Amino acid sequence: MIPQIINGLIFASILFLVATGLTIIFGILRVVNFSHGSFYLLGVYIAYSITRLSHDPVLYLASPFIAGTIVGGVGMAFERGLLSRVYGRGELFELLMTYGMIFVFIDVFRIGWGTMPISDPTITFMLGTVSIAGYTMPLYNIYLISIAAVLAVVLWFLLFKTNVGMVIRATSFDREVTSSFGVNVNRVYALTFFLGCFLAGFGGGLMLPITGAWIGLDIDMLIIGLVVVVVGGLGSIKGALAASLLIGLVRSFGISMFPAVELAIVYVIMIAVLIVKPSGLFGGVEH
Amino acid sequence: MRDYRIVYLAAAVLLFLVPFTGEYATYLTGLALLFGVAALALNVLLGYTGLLSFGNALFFGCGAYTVGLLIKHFDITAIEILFPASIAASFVVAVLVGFICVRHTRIYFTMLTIALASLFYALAHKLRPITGGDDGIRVYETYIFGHEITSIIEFYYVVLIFFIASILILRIILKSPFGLTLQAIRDSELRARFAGISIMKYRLGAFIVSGVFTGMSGALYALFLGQISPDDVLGLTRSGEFVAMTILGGFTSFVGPIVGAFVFTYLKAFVSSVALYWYMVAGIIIVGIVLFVPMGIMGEVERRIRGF
Repeated sequence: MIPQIINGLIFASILFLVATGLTIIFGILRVVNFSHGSFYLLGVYIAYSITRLSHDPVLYLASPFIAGTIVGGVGMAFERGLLSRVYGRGELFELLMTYGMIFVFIDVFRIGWGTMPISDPTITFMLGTVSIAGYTMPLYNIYLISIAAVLAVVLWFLLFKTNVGMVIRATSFDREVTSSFGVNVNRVYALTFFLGCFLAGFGGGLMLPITGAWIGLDIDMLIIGLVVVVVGGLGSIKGALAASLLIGLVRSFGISMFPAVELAIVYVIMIAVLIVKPSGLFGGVEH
Repeated sequence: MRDYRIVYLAAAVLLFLVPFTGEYATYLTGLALLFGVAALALNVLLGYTGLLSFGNALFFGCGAYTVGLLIKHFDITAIEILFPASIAASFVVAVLVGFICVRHTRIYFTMLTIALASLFYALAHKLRPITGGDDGIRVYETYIFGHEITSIIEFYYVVLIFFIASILILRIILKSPFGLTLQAIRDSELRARFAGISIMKYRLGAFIVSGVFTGMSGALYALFLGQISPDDVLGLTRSGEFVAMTILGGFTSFVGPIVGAFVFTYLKAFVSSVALYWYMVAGIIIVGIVLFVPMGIMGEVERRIRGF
């Protein structure tokens, strides 16, 4: 049981980071960012390049933060430079633009990091192992789950206890009124995109030692992220948390018990949730 | 209004003559014809009903896998059985999936289509004993009314007939009261509801039409190519290509998706043959269309013809 639970929590942590980014961006900009999986993958690749510089454990532990920040910057540049030009033309065009970026990124990855899968578990050896209830596992796994939990708390604090968070929430509630109070809404958009892409890139950086990266993971991550967001309720961070835990654990137990249909179970859960509650677990957003 | 019948006739004659220019051109044009029908079917939802499906590969794959599975497990090689069977399969899947999807609109609809297509992708991928997993299924030695199809050129004419028939039927459907009602719902759901129209029923209808035509083109794709795999016929990028073709050609025009499918297919073949980075080019094209020609090629052409 314990290994499945830990693996499920690792998966849930990453899903939470990816899905929260998606859901925050949707909540504020009303855009579903199809290139979110690509930003995640960019995070893994950048963390890989950073850790090529030196085999210092501190650098390994810092790499997700650096990668996240760079990915956030790339995301913000994309939002300011391209995406913001099509606001108001309808969600079809916003979606398509983020979809087109998936392909641009695929070739960026191929040119920059080659076509072979990459991974680097060095840090898991450096940190050693721990024993929980008789099971030995890498300490890094526990570190990953803890840091994701810390980040969830920081995010909650940022959004619900600071002025910046208040402005972000106000913008998601009513853009026009917020704007009329003198808030620079464009800056909120850019900040939100930075934050969402930071979370994706950070999650990617954390996963370098465990799964690494390969081309194709971008779309897998996007789809599973969308499933989490749909199950949790679009725009709801609480929903993203609950759905990440649900899907992370289900998938982990599914892999060990029904490997043939492990992914299918996830989609079946999604369909079941939507039939019972079309807006998702915590979705109050009007359809 | 000018009469465009002569243009259509010329296009039909040209398509009829394509096999004389060689096997590769025939192969590419055959693909373009099949994708053209799939893009047209997507546009039944996007252009006429206002619903963006990013999961139409589900039906494409459903048609293709019906053919593949019947050949692999039941040794059925008669196209006159395989083709109706894939129509039936796509119809059933479209009803079931549509029942879940059409209760939602906008982005919720789009995300559901992605998720449901991914479910089928995951099944095709993982149920290796049944579907062959990653390797997919080889489709070969198929017969039409007892006559074995041996060359791509012969089958090209089957595809061409299917293409012309599909255009005519879809044209009739979209001009019918049913098609006009779809457009009314797209333009104002509220007014349509006040007029006593059952919105869900019409949306489900559009979904089924889209699914069945996509399924048919998927079935012929399997027969035409002779090989199917989950990534090729069920993946998100396949669904995305249908959307990209439709937008490239212009979703406000009836023939737009066909034009888009042709341009996209030829361009993909050309760029892949001269450069390594087709994906980059495809991405830039999609972003470029969104930025500069949002109404697509035919939208732009029609705007120029009208003179404003």
